[in-house]
Amino acid sequence: MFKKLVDNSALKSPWIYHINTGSCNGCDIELVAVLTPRYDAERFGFRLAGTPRHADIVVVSGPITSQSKERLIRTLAQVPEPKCVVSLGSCPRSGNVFKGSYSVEGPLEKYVHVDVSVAGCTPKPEAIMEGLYKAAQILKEKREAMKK
Amino acid sequence: MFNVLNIVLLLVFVLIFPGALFTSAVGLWLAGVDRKVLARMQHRIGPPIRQPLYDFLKLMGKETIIPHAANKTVYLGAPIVGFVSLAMIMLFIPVGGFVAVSGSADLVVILYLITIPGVALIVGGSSSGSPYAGIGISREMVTMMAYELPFVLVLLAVARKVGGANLVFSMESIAAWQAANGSLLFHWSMIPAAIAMLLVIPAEVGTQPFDVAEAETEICEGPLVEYSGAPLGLFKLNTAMKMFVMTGLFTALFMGGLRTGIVVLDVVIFVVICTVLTILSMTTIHAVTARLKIEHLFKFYWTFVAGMALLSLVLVWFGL
Amino acid sequence: MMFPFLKTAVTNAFTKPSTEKFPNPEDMGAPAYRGRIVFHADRCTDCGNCVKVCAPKAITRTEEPGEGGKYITRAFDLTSCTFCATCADFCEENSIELSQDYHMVATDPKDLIVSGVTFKKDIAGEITCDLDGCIYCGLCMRNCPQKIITVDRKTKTWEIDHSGCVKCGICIGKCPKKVLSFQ
Repeated sequence: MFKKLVDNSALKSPWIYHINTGSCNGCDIELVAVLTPRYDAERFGFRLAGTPRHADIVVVSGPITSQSKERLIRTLAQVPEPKCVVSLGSCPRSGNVFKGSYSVEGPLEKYVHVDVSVAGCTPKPEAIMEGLYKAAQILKEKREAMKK
Repeated sequence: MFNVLNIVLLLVFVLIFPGALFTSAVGLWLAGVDRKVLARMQHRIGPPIRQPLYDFLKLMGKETIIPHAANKTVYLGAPIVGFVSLAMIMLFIPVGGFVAVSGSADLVVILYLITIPGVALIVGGSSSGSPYAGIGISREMVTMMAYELPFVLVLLAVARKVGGANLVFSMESIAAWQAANGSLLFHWSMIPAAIAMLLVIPAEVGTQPFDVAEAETEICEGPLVEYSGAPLGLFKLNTAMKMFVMTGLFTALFMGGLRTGIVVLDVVIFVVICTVLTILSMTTIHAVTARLKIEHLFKFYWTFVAGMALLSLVLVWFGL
Repeated sequence: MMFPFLKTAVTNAFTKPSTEKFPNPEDMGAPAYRGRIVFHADRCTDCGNCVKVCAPKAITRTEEPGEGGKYITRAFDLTSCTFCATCADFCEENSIELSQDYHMVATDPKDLIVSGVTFKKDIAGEITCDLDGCIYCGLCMRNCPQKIITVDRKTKTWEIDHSGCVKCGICIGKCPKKVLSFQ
């Protein structure tokens, strides 16, 4: 029964860690807009965590530049299980207009399995919220699959 | 003396009421109210009141990562030490009319026990070996120094007011004195001390303008930077319990006289007063201010807050 | 005043929150919002303009031979799109449309690919110009997606490089004198 309680809590309290891998800042401000009074993601328990150790959902924005590749891999390795990776906007999935640049090392799928992709350039806050909510549900499934 | 019944009773005190279980439950309730009211003050809907419980349960189910640089025993032991000391404090604070353990120097014990969660945070953070934790613990130490002085002055003022020339540090005597002479809050010479105490609460708990040690946007939550999973959950629970312990201490010190005689009703009234105090001293200040710098925090506590407490102490010393 | 927002905070606590309902299915994007691409494959003439103008190279074209023509699949990868709507602007037949639907969330990236299949009949002839009626206005030259028509008004010449022609028929539609045709 305790396990069931914990599994349900995974859906209700997903903490987000946001990493910018060379994004143009468009997606970043829209992600912050999700936490403003108008959209208020905190009512579903979403909270912006300060460190990857506290995070459940890692939100990646940007096309993964050569400089940020190392940091991205290190950040993703620090997130405790169960975790979920969300790609925000077109950049992490494909490189968008930066595709083929000498300094872009994307896509994100090369380094980690992306659970939810939110398309748009930039996505609307409602769409981001929808993506995060879907990620929380995947988080719960992952938590249920865990033994303890 | 120590027959089986006594031991069982003591275990109930420590584990259930008013110890670990009761303190955590009310602490999580207060933390939930704090988040909900804060959200409403920011014109949002806000999380449900049981959100801190969800956070705690979720963290229990997460993987616990121990960094290579960390000392495993200290790293995992620190949150437990903090938790135990917080559960212990509640034994000394009269909840409504109910006192689990009473002695002649309760206040001194409380004063010592209340620093232990802060020390546990410092020890745990320093054992994690992260430079962010280093900055965090140095700030936590300065914060502790900042609020300890006004806190001690407030306790001295209360002891002097209740005991006269010979200071009284027993919570039970303080409660009894208030039952006879009216709550300390309604004695005008104690009002500055009450204000000082209200300002000590957010620094002790570490909520917004005074959360320099755990500033998540600048130093990645300071001492907690490497913590994950169950130990982090315990630290979050400790913060919630601190809310109850500090507001409970305020209620016992300044509003101890309010009693109906029925224990259950008294406890309910006690919790309601704690909730109001949480909204007043933590949520409102959180909603209208931004984070201070560490030097501003220190200056504020050693001038304004300590001044208030000292004013009260001087007034009381002259028998007012 | 020491706490300028105290009054706001207290008033907010007792008024209705300004948060929007979620999920809100009726809510669409702003009137000119550029969201999910809708591709009307039946209108497509396979001129190739969209593929050419796409900055992030999000549009792919694959060809399969069929009976009496070929099946052309055009796929719009929304995870690569910048939603600039240049493809829609350049589409002569208005077969590309950017709708107001912004719900573009998927666990499988394949769900974020919009595609359509066009059947293109093999056309026997090649573009020819009846030079008697031609006024050498140059509209066919300007609108040709493959840029294979050269018109010079001064010397009164009209030339086409047939090897590059995709037989989209845009020039036929644009000609003000209706002198172009497949022959």
